[in-house]
Amino acid sequence: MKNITVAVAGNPNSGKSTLINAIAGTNLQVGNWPGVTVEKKTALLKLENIQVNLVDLPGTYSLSPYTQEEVIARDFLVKEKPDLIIDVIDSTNLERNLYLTVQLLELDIPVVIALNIYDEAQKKGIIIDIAKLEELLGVKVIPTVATKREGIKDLLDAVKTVAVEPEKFKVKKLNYGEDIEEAIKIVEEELKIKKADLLSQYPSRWLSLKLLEGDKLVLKELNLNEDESFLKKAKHHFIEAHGDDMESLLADLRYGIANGATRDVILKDDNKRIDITEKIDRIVLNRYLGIPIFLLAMWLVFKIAFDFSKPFSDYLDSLISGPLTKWTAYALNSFGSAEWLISLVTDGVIAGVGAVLVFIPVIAVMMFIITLLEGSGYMARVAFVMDRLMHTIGLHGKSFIPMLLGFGCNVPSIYATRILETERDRKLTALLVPLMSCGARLPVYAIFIGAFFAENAPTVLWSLYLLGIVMAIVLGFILKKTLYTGFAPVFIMELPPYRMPMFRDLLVHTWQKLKHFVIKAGTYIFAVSIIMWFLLNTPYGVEKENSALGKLGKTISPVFEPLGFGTWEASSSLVAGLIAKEVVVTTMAQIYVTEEAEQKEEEKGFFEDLRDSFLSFILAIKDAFGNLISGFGIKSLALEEEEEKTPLKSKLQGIFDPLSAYTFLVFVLLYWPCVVVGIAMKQEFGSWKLYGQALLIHSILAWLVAFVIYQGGRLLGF
Amino acid sequence: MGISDIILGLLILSGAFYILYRSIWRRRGHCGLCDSRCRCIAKFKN
Amino acid sequence: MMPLTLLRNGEKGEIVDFIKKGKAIFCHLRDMGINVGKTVEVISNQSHGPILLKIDESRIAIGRGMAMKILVRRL
Repeated sequence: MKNITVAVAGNPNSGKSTLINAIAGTNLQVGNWPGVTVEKKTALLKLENIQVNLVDLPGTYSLSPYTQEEVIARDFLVKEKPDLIIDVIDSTNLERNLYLTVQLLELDIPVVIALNIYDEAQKKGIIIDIAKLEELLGVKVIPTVATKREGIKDLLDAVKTVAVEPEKFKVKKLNYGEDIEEAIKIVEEELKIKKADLLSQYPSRWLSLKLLEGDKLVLKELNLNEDESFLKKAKHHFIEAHGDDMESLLADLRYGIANGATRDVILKDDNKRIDITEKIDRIVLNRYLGIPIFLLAMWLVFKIAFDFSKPFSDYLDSLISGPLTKWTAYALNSFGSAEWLISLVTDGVIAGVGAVLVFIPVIAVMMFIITLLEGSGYMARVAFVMDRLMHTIGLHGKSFIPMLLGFGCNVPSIYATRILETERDRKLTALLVPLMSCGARLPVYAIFIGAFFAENAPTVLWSLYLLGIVMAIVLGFILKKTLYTGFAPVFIMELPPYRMPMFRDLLVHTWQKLKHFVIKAGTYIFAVSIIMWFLLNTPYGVEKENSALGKLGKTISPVFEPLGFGTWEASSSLVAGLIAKEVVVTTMAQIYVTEEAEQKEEEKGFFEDLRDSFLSFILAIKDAFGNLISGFGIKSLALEEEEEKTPLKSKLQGIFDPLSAYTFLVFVLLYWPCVVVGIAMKQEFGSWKLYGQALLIHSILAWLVAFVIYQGGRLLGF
Repeated sequence: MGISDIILGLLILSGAFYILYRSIWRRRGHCGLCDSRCRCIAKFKN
Repeated sequence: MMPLTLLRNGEKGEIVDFIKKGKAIFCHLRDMGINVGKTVEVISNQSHGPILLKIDESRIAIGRGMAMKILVRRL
């Protein structure tokens, strides 16, 4: 079996990931904003008897990297030497994309051009002479529409040909003019004599060009100096004629080729102005309206998320605390299990994991809407709108992108800081990311909001997310003045056009985000529930208050006294939340689990329960859509029947008051980031130092803010 | 509570710690958002 | 010849030159398609904050300070 590697390269947002998904039937993360792919990812594909490694590279504008994701792309192309590069080109923006193509051709690796988004180019009245383009660049050009899977077959044929008859893809050298070619030859000759080993590692034409340009990264890697005598000799001619700037000279040359090719192959460019993107941008990016629109959009997200998911959450809650617990206990009993084992399963695992599972619908709807916003292109606009605010903390708008991503889960945000330019920016942004409220915190909010603020649920939730953003800016400001002084590098970012994401993609990517939370509930939330049960029940048989966990909680609780929740229950839950924020809820659920649930059981048979739960599921679907409609003006269809109090909620109402409940939520929002974020920080920045800083800073910040809110609220008489 | 109960308890507990170790540490800070069907083949080098 | 920031919404200009400071960033601008001789259209210029440009079919946001260093000829 033959094994070949195919790299997929191209400008950001030209549809590389979509194309790979179309080819390999995988579900790589796709988003309509730059920086979705910050790591190369491979998909495996079998073509008859050829094994193809498709590598999705981060988008790059050139082979002179500017951000770290671009370094990844370049290193792969240069060092791993793929058998073929599929160069994905945005057909509506030929010139700039061809500029990269010209550079790819220097690598001496076969290239196939996928002229992507071809349908949009046609719609815009751009007609491209494909045969001519092939002739000019000496490569195969295939028009594709990745979203509709058009052109994929031709692309696969090309891949097959490369594997079987690579000689058909001989790379044509573009002529850079006599003088440059001469200089390249001088450098190549010199390398052949002095550094023959290098030529086997790097493509020689490319290496020579980079040395002529004086590329700092390459020089450093080769241990060479910019004024090496042979380089001086090669450049001598140009230095006299154009000054020292070989880099610009070569860039102009490449641009000339790209520009010439573009002019030659575009037959008709009517440039029909049907651009809805600009119309939307005029409003969304407006100086006065930009931020209010973003805030309103956020509020709507929470409103929809809550209204739509509530019936499902209630349904799951009644299912888990009712029939599931009952029948599990019954089954265990009939096997003659020990009493403690039954308690471990029902009070430990089912109560704990169940408390999180109940809120999976909320997380699901949130993730769906976030995916929708990502795919539409709006998220990149938010970065634009926030640029000015971010400048006050010495970052720029692009830093807001990893932060927005953090609303799903903070972990990928840490990796997404790669789209930033400097180490300082990346670290500072990584420190602010945990203040973005991730999906794992939703169950905590949801349960407290359900118990205390049911009427204003979306607004309360919105206020928490907003507080996260505000505190990020405050913290950023403090850090800028202290630990991370400096200025933001220049803000440059491409804004993608608005696109309506495909429904299938939406579902796939929502599931990808959601899957993480479901798997988490099944693995480590499950494990932590078991451990917590043991802590709550050692020594066995004592009151919970005197258990190991209770004693631990009591020791710490004075710290939280001034914040209004100085109970051992709250304290121990918060400590456990270091593992994952959901654990705050699971621990509370275990502590407050009561016998009430079992008391009110009517004597129903198993199948009766099964039927009932099926019927109430249908009802939940009906309610969900009812809520969605009534949420917008057509005043509530009297869906607010008397709130059914779950035991956990009524317990909470006995212990917290609305003020301390809100303070508790603020604390959960801001306090130490979970260990998985810590590990991500370690991976990305090479040491535990950053996580150490984060633990300390965030704990202090959370305590202070919570203190101000609680004591301030009390003064105001709440 | 007999000795068998304690042994079973310890077994369950160590199982739980193993799951915790596996899902947190061994995955090295990668979560579901990094697509599990595709290997993240290379770590970024500074 | 004037800095890009002086173009108002909807106006077009041809890039003539850059005031060169900090070389790497200009290379990046060039790689993104902002190059001498290109025609740019200002989509959003609101006297504060970044400027949004349209070059060919791409929309590129640039910080104001940087935009000051791009010299254009109004078209």
